[in-house]
Amino acid sequence: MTRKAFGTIGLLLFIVVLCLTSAFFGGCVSSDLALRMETSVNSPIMKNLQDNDEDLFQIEDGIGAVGEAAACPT
Amino acid sequence: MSQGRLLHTLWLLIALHIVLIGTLSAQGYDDAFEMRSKLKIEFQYADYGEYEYPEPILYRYGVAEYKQLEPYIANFPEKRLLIKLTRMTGDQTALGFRYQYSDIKEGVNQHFVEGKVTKQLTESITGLLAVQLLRDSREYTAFQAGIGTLWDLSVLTSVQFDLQYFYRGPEADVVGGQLSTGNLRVKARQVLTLSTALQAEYSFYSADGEAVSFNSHSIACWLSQYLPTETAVHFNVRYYTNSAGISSVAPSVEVAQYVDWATVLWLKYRHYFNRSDNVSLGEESIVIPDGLRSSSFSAQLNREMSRELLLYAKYRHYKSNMGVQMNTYMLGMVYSF
Repeated sequence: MTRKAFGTIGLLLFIVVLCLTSAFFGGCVSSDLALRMETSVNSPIMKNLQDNDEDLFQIEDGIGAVGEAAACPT
Repeated sequence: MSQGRLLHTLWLLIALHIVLIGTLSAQGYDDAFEMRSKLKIEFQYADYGEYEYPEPILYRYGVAEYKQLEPYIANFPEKRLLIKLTRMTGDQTALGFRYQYSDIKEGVNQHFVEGKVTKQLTESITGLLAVQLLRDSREYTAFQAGIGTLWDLSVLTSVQFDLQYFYRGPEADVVGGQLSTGNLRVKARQVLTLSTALQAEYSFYSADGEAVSFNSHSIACWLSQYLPTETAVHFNVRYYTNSAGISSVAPSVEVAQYVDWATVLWLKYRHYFNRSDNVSLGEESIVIPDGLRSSSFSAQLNREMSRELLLYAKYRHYKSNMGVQMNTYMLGMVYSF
């Protein structure tokens, strides 16, 4: 009986390891990543560079720093 | 199998599980925004000094020098150091401080400091208050204050308003003397489908000073599409016009790609062309020339090294029909704690 029980537990553990391994190396993702994919329209990269980084925006177009800079992106 | 070996196997599995979960959650791109404080440091270098301005003196006749006007390149800092600290002071409020050193051109530099408060006013409305001070090595100081709000009308629609006021005194004669300006910006984003969004922005700018007085309007639209390849494509076009005699159109396209969940590659191409009455907007010797065409290409790689650390690098190549080209390099990091 003991041998059979250990055999069953071993099989179950093997399945668990298989699931975890496939989750890591395969296409499975965590719940927040799944949510992110579902809401792809709100993904961080769906914001353009300007919206993602106001400092970057400033150096790209000169807007946002001071008035004289704001005059420049003609 | 002994009980000891079974326990050992179980512990091993639990440890493996913890490691795997930790690895996955550490790759979340925007987890850093949940942190209480963020420190951002950026260093940018451009080689435009090699191309900056041609020899201003065309020829001399007797004692008179005949000078040509300097072509407009970009009157914004391409060589700079930026340090920015943002700290949450509660669930609803964030304080920001920024210092920036900019090398404008040979012998000219600026120190810029900013204090900013961002507050979640209601569940859907965020308010912003900012004060900025700029000190130029040409012996003048400028001041600017701004107020803004972002309103999430629904999960599909958001609207943003910004107002800014700028002032510099008559001591700034080298860039046109006294100047006060007002700036209004309205921006809206609308989700069209699960993978498509449209964004529009209008800005009005009014300048009143000793050397220049004009109003300007600009309108820009972005159409953003998310693709099944974990790619976002942004099509953008911007139209600008002002009462001083300048109008321009600038279309651009951006592509952002998840290389993996911790790495994003951005590619951008922008083209600009204008019509101008060859006017100067402050510095007499610098004009915005008619028929200016420029194009720039940039590539930026963002890599989230851990929950706390984001690193990024950027390269940009700029070229114009004025015979000017330059390469810009940027390295940056955001540390969240």
